Amino acid sequence: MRVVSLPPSLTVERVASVRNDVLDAFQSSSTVLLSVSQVERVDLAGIHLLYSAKREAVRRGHTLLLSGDVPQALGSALVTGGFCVDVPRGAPELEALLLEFADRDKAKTGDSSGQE
Amino acid sequence: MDNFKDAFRDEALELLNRLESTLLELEANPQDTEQIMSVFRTMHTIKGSAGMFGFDHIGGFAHTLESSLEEVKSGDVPFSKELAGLTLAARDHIRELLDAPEPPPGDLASYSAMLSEKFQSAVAEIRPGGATKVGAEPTANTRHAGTAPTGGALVTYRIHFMPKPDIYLNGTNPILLLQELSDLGMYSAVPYLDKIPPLSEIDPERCYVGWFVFLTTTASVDQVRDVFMFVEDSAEIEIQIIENLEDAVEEHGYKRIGQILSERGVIDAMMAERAAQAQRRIGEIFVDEGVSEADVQSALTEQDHVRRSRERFQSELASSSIRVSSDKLDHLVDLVGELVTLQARLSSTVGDTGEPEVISISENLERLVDELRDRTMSVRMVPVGATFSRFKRLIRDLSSDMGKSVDLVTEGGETELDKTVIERLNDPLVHLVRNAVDHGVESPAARAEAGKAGTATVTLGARHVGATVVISVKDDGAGINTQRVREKAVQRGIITEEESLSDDALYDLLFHPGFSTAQTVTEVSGRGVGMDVVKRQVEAFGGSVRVTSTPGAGSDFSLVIPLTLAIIDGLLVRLGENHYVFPLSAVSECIELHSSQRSQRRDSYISNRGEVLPYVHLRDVFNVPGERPEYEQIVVVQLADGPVGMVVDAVLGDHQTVIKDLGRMFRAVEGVSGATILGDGSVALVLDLARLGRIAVRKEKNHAAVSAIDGSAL
Repeated sequence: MRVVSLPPSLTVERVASVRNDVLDAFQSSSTVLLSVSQVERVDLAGIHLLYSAKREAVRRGHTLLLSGDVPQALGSALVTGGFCVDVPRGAPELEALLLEFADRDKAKTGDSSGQE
Repeated sequence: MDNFKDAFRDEALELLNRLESTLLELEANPQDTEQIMSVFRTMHTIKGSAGMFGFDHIGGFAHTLESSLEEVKSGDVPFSKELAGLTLAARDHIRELLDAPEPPPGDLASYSAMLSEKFQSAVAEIRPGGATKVGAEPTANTRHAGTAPTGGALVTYRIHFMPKPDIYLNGTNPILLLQELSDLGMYSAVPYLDKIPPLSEIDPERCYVGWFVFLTTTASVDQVRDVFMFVEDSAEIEIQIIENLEDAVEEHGYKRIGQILSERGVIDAMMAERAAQAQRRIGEIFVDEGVSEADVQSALTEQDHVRRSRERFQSELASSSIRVSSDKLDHLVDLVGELVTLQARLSSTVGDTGEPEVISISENLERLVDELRDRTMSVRMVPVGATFSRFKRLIRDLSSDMGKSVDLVTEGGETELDKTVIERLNDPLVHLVRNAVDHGVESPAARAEAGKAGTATVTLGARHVGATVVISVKDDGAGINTQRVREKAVQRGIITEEESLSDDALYDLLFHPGFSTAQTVTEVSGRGVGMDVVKRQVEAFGGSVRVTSTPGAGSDFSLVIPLTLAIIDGLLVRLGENHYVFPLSAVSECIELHSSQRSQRRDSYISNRGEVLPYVHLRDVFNVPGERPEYEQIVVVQLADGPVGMVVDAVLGDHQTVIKDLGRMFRAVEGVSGATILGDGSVALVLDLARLGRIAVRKEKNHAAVSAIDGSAL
């Protein structure tokens, strides 16, 4: 397993280098763990990166795990962007969020919810 | 729109009250993250609703507080006593702003600015390192404060926001734009994530996400568009009004998913129609038909947003409670009273006929009338807890003014009392609480000397005792110094030097007009408005004040308040030819008294379950002529001082009692509080047990004195 610690500033200026770190990790290990607790600032590019990493993991058949407390800045950016309704309280909830996204992607005919 | 504004005011007032008690608790326990979150949420809700209803100034003010508190919430800055104090001041300020016109006059506005500044500098000071945090988002404070109120209608917008891939190039973070939108009112967003590619294909400097945002606000389309002012060239923005809430409140249901999707051009109307007729889950159908799940999801969110915004406005408009004038309620209570009386007559008449069917109908009717009565009476009852919690603030302010440390403990807040009584309790309680903090609780130095904890406790308690509610204000201070009370009374010429008085009698002196034992006249009490006012106010609604005190351990001022209900469950008894009613809630049991057990004295004691039970002959109290039956009944009632027995000829059973005023003529009659009409049309008197208890005690004392003289004469 490889661990990648996301930097305090998960913003458009830094995402390119973070992307390379995560891709490296995927090259060398089938399980990659992203530690989110250091993140102090995040913008949309940073959030993109999380979803994109998940999509990468799904495509490779690898496992993407998250760890650490969800920093307040990340939590509120996710809520404001409508990515989730409540601030994720920990890495497992964040992981579930990405999983939901990946599932939606994988199985378009799956059990979708609907109401009339 | 005014309806909405009133609803907002009501909601805000409730929030502010809750905020106050949360803050007071936080002050005592600044580490409580739960409470910090609650403060933050309250500010957030106030901000959101204020924005929605066009209270832009309040919204802006709450917004700055919220941003400052953000760092506290995230744990970067510890919550300090100073912050608690400032937040309290801010709470009071918002309270004031609510009553002021919008936009508020200059002095209020500048006070807002001053408070906001204080807040920011307080947070900056506490912040570890003391530096200004770079990460703080430069959100739209100025926008909020500067925007003129629109007073516009409350509408829900559907905003389609598709940033172009290169939107980052001009330094825009779309999340901040959304943040700005969310500040305008009630907000939901659905991102479209499908285009985010896997990591190996992503250009991390391009934007792949778009949104549907649903926003319910009073802001105009132009104001919403202003948010996107600097990105108009780097994003597609489409703003539609999907609903005007004032028109929609009456409507039920919202567009179907298919309708929403076809409105957005995702599907055609034909397909929407087909889907609506299919029997399967609608979401599945659309996904099968190639509609992206994100589209379905966002249509669902739109439905949900509309539903929630309507609910919120309906509930704010109608609210879960309604205000009814007490006149209407009184009238209803009167009518129910008449119904109960009529029902009693029906029951007794039907009982005589012996017709089983009619009896059954009458019994069913009786059950319904009983319930109707209970429900009607309970409408007027309110728990005292809300009143109690108001005293937290008073205690906090008083104790900090006087340099004392005092905790407030409340007990029995769920005890219910008639609303009018609760309102009239406020003044006497304020006085007693002030008194407890000022006179009751010692200075910290004196407490330390006495070996007591530095923080004193004032306990506000409420409990049912028989047909009364006892509200007590207790402190763990020094107790009442009877010597000082005596000296003062002599000095004031209320009593003479020679008079010897029991402790109880000395406590009574406290209620003498103009009596005050404070060493110095303080801000808080001792301004000539004495305890006599408390006594007068409480007696005005039929209550009384009792004082107990233990030197060195504290004192207890209790207000004994009758449950002034117009209709009660009563216990009907007979004395000679006449009928009387005991309030059933005060009665604990009935015991037989044989003539052989009877003492010759008018008042006496018997042993009941190993306890000494004093009793009084009601025949003597009411001067009922005639012979006593061989077997009498003692009705044991619970009074504030303990159980007392009242001897009657016979107990007849329970009776729905509609209490009628006896009128001015009989107001001075002791021992009865009203009258009621019995099933056969005759009148029974309702006993005033508290008063009777006092008569009993008084007679007992006189009797003891008489016996003593008798004894000495022998």
